[in-house]
Amino acid sequence: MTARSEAELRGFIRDALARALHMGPSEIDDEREFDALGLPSLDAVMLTGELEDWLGRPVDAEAALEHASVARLARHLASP
Amino acid sequence: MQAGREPSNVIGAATAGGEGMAFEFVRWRGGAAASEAWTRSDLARAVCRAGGAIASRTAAGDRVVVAAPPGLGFVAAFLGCLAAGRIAVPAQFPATARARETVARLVAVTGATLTVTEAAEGPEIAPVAPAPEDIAYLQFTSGSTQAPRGAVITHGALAANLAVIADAWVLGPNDRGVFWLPTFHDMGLVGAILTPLVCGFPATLMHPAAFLQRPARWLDLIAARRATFSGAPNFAYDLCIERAEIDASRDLSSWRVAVNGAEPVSAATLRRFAARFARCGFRAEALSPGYGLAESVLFATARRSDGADGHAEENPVSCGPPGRGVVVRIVDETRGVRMPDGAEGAIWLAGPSLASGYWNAPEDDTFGARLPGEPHAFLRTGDIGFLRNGELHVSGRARDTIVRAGRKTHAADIEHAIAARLAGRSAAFAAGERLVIVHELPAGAPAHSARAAIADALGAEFELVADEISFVAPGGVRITASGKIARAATRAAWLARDLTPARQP
Repeated sequence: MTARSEAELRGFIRDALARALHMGPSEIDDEREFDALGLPSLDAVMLTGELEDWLGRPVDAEAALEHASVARLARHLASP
Repeated sequence: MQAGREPSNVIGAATAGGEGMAFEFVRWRGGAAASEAWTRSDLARAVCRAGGAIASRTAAGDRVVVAAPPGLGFVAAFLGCLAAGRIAVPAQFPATARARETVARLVAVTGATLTVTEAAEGPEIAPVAPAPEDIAYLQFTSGSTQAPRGAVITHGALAANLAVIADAWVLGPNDRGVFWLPTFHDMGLVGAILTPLVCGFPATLMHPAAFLQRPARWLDLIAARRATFSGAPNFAYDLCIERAEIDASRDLSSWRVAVNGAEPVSAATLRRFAARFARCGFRAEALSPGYGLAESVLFATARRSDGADGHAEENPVSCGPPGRGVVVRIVDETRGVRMPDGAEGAIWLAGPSLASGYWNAPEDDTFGARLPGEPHAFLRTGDIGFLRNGELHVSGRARDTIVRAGRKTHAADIEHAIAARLAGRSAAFAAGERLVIVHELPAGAPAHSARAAIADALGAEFELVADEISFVAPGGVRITASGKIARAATRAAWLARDLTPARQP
């Protein structure tokens, strides 16, 4: 299990979104809600699986639905 | 179950009681699995109490939106609704703003007098004994925002389709189901809940999110429960191929019916899944591609897992022969006649397990189509295919429908949503597996903001992501003489690279 900073988390989430949305990471607005970016909730849930692997700890399956932007999800995951 | 025997009706099976396990729900918290299980007596009690709570707040024949989250509570609320003689409208749990809008729309369209998000407990009721023509539930299928269409499922049609399913896969009390499917879709409701219920075998359910987060959980649960019957849309098998590691201790040899339905079936997926999980004891002949739709309750055709091999797994794959009593015709819709064996045409269905129409849409011509010399009233599925050796091959969805993750979205609705955000005409269509948007960008308009607006329209309203957005000069989106979007013509022009790109500022 590795502790990650909020900035690192933002970077990881942004990259994962960019892959799912066929966009460049720089095109993704951290404050915009996932569904407004065009991310299906299906992919938002799958993102939590990738985050679990990367963080080495459980992440609630619905975290990305409840904290639905790059900034909010990173903040949620960075908070102890 | 024995071929030819009708399963007991759903309400009877739900309220009969008994010591055997009926349903189990498994959830993962902090990485560990926890299970909650109901015997058939537990189920009967929960159903009659939920029915009591619903009955005390509604009148006979009222519509009740059942929007409990996936779990035993949904099962009790849905069955309680039927046991109380109310018409159920399965819906997703209103956890997000979008889901709340969907539920509100369903309430408005059906005139529902109650929405239940949990199985409330009221005084136990004595279950009703409905006539075959009484309505059991309304199944809403498409992601349509303009005019959601609810297939009207009568108790008679439901019982008939459940009998077809039991017969096709020879399901009975010795089977065991494991499913993660959304409970408010036809495959999750009929395949995962009602089929095990009436066939008398236990079903283990899990949350769709738990599967999506870790696809291996589905396979692991099948192995742990020695499940015989499970299924999902094609994309779920792809997810397992991509993301579920091979674990030789995971024994999938018990899995004898692996249904692949609700979206186009890919030959490559079938081949790769069978090859990859053979090491877990998975048997290729268990793969059972099927075809059906909510307008025929769930099931129309499927391959039987009778051990007979010999399917080459080439696209379009065989979706097997029609179920018993299901009539499949391939029709030339422009001439209104049957096509010969092997020829491609529109897929029409008839038989006792069709929906009786769409809710409050008497003018709709999807149902009640006729063919010369045939006594049946047909359902025009909107899909394209052919019959070969008595087996249905689905070669294309109707051009005006986008199917993703088992959900149908009408192209016209996508275009409408884009038009609400953006000037210029759009055409939405599927090209193979890809969702393509062709949009006429007014001269000088910036493409990046148009791209964001289209992404927003697709994401916010339909949970879709476009695989390709093509900006073309005005005139690029073809229209019919009456000014409607000519999707097929636009699609052909796009495929032929015959569209002029929009001029960029």
